[in-house]
Amino acid sequence: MKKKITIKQLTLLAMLLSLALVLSIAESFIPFGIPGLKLGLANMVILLAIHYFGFWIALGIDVLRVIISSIAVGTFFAMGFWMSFAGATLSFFTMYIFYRWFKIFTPVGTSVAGAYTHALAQILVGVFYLGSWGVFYYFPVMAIASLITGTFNGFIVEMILRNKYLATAAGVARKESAS
Amino acid sequence: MEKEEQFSKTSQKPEKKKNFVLKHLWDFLLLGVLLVGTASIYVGRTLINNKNANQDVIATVLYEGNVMEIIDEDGKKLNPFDLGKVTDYKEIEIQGRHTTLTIGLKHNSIAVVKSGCPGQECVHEKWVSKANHPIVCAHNGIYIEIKTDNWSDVIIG
Repeated sequence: MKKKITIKQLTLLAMLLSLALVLSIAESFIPFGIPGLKLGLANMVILLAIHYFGFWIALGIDVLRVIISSIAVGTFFAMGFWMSFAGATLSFFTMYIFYRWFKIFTPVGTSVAGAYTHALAQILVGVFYLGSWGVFYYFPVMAIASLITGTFNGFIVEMILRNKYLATAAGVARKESAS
Repeated sequence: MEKEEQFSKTSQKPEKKKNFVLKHLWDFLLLGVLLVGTASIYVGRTLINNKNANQDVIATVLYEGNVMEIIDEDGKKLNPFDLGKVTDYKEIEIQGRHTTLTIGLKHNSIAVVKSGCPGQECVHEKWVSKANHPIVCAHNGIYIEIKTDNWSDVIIG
């Protein structure tokens, strides 16, 4: 029997997707001087979706937000899109693995791991797309920036996960609540 | 009574701090390992760069991974650019995937001085003369690689 989704869950899901989209598009307009360097605020939403809805729905939100935001910004199927896509999917799988199997880490560690692999995937796409390992020049700066943003985002997610109303709306009995 | 409450509140503070550190112990360990690893890469790269300083550099403009054909009015091939032989400031306009870019050349330095791309990251890189410093313009699929005899320096725009 298929698992039914409640109206509250559906609403929360739609809100998470909208939030991920808005954050993705908004942060693409903040220039840092390095290609692909962003605050990674949308990763926060994906981490919340993993906690609230599990693998498939969170993956759906992740893929949809990359596709829709790239269409909105005008980078669909360009190099920037593939960088975002690879970064988003690799960081998603890393965060899910950390969430599911490495319980010693809190959302902070999970977010840091996700942000770091996001930076790594972007660089690897750059190497593949441009045919030179010279792109690795940007890696240390991007990686250190990802560690800072990952930590910051992780603490925010930890705080949001303590919210009982959201947890109830998502239909998760958060026994191991983030407190 | 109030004093007792106050005392119990203040005595809870160090306990809270301790709990916070214990709870995030593995997170901080992961953060530390990644930070040290990345910092090592950065230091290693800087040392290599310093070794190659003051060497003549050759810049190659690549479009989607292939060397771009850039010819002057006399039909002479300009790309790759031997920047060691450049004496006067020169500007060259090239066509990227979406917009045009203006590349500036001077002695042992290269820069994307103007670009129609939305991010402008390539322009923000300014003048690059060190080996192993890339400039990338992802929007236009342009990548400028700078090589010395021993190492490579890249500009992606």
